[in-house]
Amino acid sequence: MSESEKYSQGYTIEAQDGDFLEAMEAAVDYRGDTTIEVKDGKVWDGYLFNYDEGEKALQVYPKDDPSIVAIPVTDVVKVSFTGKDTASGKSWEAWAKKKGEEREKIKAQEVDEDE
Amino acid sequence: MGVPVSQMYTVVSYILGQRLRGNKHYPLVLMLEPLFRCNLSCAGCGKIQYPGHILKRQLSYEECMSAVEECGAPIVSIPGGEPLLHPEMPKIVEGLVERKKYIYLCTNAILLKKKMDEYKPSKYLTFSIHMDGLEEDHDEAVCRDGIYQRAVEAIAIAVKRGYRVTSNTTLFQGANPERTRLFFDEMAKLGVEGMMLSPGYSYSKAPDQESFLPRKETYELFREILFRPKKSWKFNHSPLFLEYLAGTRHFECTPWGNPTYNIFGWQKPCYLLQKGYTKTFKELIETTKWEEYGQKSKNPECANCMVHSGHEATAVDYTFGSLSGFLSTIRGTILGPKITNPKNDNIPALLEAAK
Ligand code: SF4
Repeated sequence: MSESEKYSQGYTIEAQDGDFLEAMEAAVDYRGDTTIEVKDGKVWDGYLFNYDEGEKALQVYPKDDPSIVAIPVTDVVKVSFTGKDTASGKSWEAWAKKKGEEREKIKAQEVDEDE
Repeated sequence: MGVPVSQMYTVVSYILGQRLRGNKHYPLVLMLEPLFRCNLSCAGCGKIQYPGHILKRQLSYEECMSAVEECGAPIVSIPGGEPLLHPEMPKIVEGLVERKKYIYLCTNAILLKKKMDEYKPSKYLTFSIHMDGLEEDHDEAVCRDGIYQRAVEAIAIAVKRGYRVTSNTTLFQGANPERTRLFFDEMAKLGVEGMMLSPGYSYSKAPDQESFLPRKETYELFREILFRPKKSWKFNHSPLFLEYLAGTRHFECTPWGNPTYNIFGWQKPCYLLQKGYTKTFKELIETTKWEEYGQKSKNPECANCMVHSGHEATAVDYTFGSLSGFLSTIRGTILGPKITNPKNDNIPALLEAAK
C-alpha cells in the first residue's frame, strides 16, 4: 500500500502506535481536515498545517475559529484523517482528454456537413 | 528589457546595500499570498486544494503590511488564489505603493475589467496576467473556455488606461515552441511591458503529476522558443535567467530570494515546497536548512525544478556578485541573451551542473 493510500480519509492513529511520528508528518501534509483528540478529552476538528519544532506543537486552524491553535504534541491522544483529501481528484489529463474528444466530435460533424 | 529605470535603480541599490552589509540570504521578491481562493481551478495548480474553511480565510491588510515591512524586499509579488477576490486588495495595493514597493499583482484577469477602476495607475503597480499560451492552449491550461479572450480584452483596456501590464506564462510538457513564439507576437501586439516565463513545477500536491518538464526537456524547449528572438519581444527577466532556461548556463536555487508568506506563516523553504512554517521572517531565514534544497543538494524534490521563483534571484545576485556576471548582463541586455542553436546537441548547463 502506498503512503497516499495508507494516509487517506478514514485513517486513524493513536499516540502509542509505532508509526505515530510518520503519521503526524503525513497528517501535516494531508490536504483535508483532521480530528485531534487531546489528553483532557478536548477534540479539535480542523486543518493541521504545521508542526512547530521550537514549541513542539501542532498548529491547526479549527473549522469554526479564525485563529490558529497550538496543540502540544505530548498532549495528543489520537489523530483521525476525517476530511476529504482535496488534492486528489480532477486531473489535467482528464480535462485534456475531454477537450480532445470534444474537438474530434466537432471535426467529425464538420466532415459530415461537408459531405 | 521592459522594466522601468526607477525600478532597476531601486533593485540595484537594494542589492548593493545587502552585499555591502555581507548579507548572503537577502530577499528580492516577497511572494505575498493573501488567499488561496480562486475563481478558476487549473489542473497544474497545487495552490487551491484546501478544505472550504481554509479557502475562505485571508490575510488582513495589517498582516500584509507587517509581512512586507518585516521582509524588506523591494518587490512584492501577489499571487494566490486570485488576489482580485480579496475585498481589501485595493487598500493593500495602496499600502504597498505608499511604502514604495514595486508590486506584481498576479491575476487571471477574469475580474480585471470590472475591478480595474479600484486601482490607480502607478509606476509601482503592475498587473501580471496569467497567460499560458494562445487561446486554445491557455483555455486548456486553465480548464475553462473563453478565459483567453477575457484576459486579452482586459489587457488591452489596462494598457490603454496607462497601467503597467505584463504577461505571466508557465510552460508545461508538450508546449509547442512555434505556438509559443506566435503567442509572444500576440502579447507584443497587445503592448504588454514585458513577458514573464517559467517552466512548470511538479508539486507533490498537484493533481497532474505527468505534465511537468524534466530538466533536459526544459532546456530544449526554451532553446527552441528563445533562439533568434524577435525584436518586438520584451521579457521581464534578467537576460541571464533566460540563458539559464535555455541551458546556456547553470544556476543553483536561492529560495530565500523569493520568500513566501500566507495564512499559515512564512513558508519553508520556498514558494513551492511546504516544509513547515515560521512565525517570523527572521526565524525563516535562520532556521531553514538551506543546504537541503536546490539541485546541488540532490533533494529529489529540487532535481528538475527550474522555476522563476527559485532561480531568477540567483541570476540577479550573480550580476552584482562578480565582474563576469555584470559584463554578461550588460552584453545580454544590449545584444540579447545568448541562446545556442537548438540543433546543437551540447547543453552547457548540463555539463556545468554535473561538475
Ligand atoms: S529548487 Fe528551489 S524553488 Fe525549486 S523546489 Fe527546490 S527549493 Fe523550491
